[in-house]
Amino acid sequence: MRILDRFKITDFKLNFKESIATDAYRIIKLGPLSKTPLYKNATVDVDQYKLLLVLYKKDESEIEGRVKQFIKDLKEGLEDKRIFSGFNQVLRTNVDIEAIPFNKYDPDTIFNTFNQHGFSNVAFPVIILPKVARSEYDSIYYRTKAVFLAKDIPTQIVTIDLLKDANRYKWSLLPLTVQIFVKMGGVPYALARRFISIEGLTNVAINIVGFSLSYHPLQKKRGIGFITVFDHNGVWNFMDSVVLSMDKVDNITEGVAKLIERSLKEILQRTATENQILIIHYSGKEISSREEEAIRNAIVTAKYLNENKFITVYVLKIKDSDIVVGLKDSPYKDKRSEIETWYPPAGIIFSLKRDVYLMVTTGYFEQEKDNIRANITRGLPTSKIIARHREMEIPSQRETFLEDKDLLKSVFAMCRLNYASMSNPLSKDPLTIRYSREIAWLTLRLEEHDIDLSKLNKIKNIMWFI
Amino acid sequence: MYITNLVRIEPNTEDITLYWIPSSGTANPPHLTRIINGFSMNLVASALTYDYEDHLESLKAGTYIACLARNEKIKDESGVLEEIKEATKRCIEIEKSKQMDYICKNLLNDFENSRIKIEKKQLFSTSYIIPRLLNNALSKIIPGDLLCEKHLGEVNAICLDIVKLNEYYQKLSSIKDRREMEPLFNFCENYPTLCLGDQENECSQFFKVLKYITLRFQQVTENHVGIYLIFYSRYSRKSNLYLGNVIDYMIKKSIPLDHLIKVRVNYVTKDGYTKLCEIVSIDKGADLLTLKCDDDNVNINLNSLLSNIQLQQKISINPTYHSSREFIETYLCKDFDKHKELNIRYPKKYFETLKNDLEILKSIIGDKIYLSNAYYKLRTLLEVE
Repeated sequence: MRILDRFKITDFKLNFKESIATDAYRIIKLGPLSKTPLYKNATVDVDQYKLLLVLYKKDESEIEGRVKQFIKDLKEGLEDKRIFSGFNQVLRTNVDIEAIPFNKYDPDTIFNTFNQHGFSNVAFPVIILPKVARSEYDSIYYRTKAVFLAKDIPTQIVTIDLLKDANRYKWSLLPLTVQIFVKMGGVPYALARRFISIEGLTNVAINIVGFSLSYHPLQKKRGIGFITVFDHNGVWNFMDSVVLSMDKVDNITEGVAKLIERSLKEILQRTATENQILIIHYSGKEISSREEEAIRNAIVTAKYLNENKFITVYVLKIKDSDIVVGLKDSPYKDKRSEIETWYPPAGIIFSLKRDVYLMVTTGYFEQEKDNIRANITRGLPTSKIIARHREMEIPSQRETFLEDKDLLKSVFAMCRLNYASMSNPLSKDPLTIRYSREIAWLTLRLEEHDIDLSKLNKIKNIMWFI
Repeated sequence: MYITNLVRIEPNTEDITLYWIPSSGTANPPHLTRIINGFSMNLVASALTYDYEDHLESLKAGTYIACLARNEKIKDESGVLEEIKEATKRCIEIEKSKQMDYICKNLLNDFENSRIKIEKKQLFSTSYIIPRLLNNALSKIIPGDLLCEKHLGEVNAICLDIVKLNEYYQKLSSIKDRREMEPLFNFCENYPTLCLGDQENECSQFFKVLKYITLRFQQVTENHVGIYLIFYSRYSRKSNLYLGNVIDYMIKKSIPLDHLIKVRVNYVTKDGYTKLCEIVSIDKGADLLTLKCDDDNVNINLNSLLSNIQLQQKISINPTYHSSREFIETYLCKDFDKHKELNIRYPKKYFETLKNDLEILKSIIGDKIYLSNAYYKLRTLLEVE
């Protein structure tokens, strides 16, 4: 085992020319990067929206007062404008914000209430719901989201618990606003520079692709395969999915091949860049070697369909690791007691075997003028095992020009993009695999109602799942 | 200097002698491995279902076999075959599953007709197959009462309750003076009912907090080709939340059964699938429990649930969900989640305790694991500069 490298966190690019920031909170001063998706064929635009419609349950104790305050804060911002200066002020938008009650916690009732509103085609629904476990497939959270998604409408769910918890609420307003902006089709910020340097190669684009296979949580014969596509700055491009019969290996191979082929075509349609590199971040806790074989065959099949273009595919399998790393002379001390923690630096990479690496994703890091911070406050640091699967790759027709370090950088860079918790500068999971469960469960739920998510024009082009 | 939870394993020799049975009809590697590991006291096996190749070695698919210790009877291929034959006979005698019985009978037939080929192989003592053999050897070496219940795909784990842990701290001179490093002692003083188990009080009959140590061998080839033990310890709660037990307790304590409504349970169906269900009604007079599973209602006879052990083990409260947790905290054991605090430690504290845990492990399995002509000695936690 040896130290391979230590990656540094990348800056963000915001609105103004040359506006670079380490802290995502700078969006308040600098404004978002773009109000429309950066990739063509997208039919969404933040400025299409005229209204944020907050939906809440009538007669629920204390809720009306909380909703009133929530709307006031969204409109005017908090007293401390450095924490939150207001929805339109942060995003440079001009939407109205209103609330409307529904009668009961029933997805159809909530949707009908939204739909009856005269501006439902230009309104974005923000729905207040009780807190439920995310591990519950049949919860009101997933059921409500699915009903709206089926109509090609993204939603933002806010829990009653959050509205009642003054401290958490205060710090959640900006991430909530940014998440809504993303779901409207905007790009709040991106990574400031291409995290992989491909000097000397012209007309080459790098796509970071999240790929996962998941079983239905209640019906083991059903499953889903999906792909999320980001560019070399971590900017969202599109997603696609395919329903699979998990008891039939041929069906998995065929379905995944179709998904990869479709995605390659879509990538090529959306860009003028002729040559494409795909770095697939692949996760799937329940995936056995049988299914991996099917994926491998699917990638190889897809290769022959795009022979006229230059396409190289790299495959990284990412999974949680049980290896714990401590740094004996760590400069990070406990904030109150000053006792030693032994936290390692986030971004340290160890090489275990050829093509197998350990990446620490929670630990300390230096930020501006030797200021040492950490993305963990207690407990053990987390790490990921990243294994390069060369047997699944489509090799470059030219000589190999991306090294393993470059591929690993793509994972670390995607940990930096964390719209849901902006105060955390680095998430323990890369954005490419972080939402696998949400995407799988909601796609499966839509499929139960004969709705193919890949056919929904708006949803396909936005990060509806964050 | 980085410290890790990888324990260095030092082989005493560069080469190891293993036996290899190629994959063929009845000599299916997973089946053969299951028979050897399940029914032979002297051999350990690992199935390689694919040809393996890296820059250091190449291995053919098949069953790789080692002796667990030096054994005079097993010194060549015929000795190994004889031992596997004996294991196959034991499989036929003991194994209840019809499928395994069929497999073992066919295999024995092939052994008796000399249709199974075996080959002696000299491999590096740090070969890719060695961690797999060591993992399987551990299952046999760790005393059964210390092995945690193993679920599909899980690695070996040792479970130590406070009584066992205390025994090791008293017995081992290397850790005797380092009791304060072990947080479970302090925890059990504060929450004794969570540590004792099987006693007639609110928490003990449903929960027991244990030290849970997982063990997994891994080959590492960077810098130095070697075998390491990934040694991970945490604290875990063993739960006995069979619904029948809970209802029995509630009746004894005169707690109205209506409080169970909305509680989430895992229900194992006749086909062996586990479904997540919600209790929708419980009527003692009508002897009826109704669960809502997906969109279907399932009716269960309450009396059978209380008296039939097999049925009892099919329905248990799932503590992941809010409604279940609320019920448990209010009516069964207020502090049932307290053990989670034990797992919130800085790496510094974690590694201090882990060094003690390693001493305990060496005391349980010995500091050497024997495989054929080699032994593998457990050293210290790996440090990387």
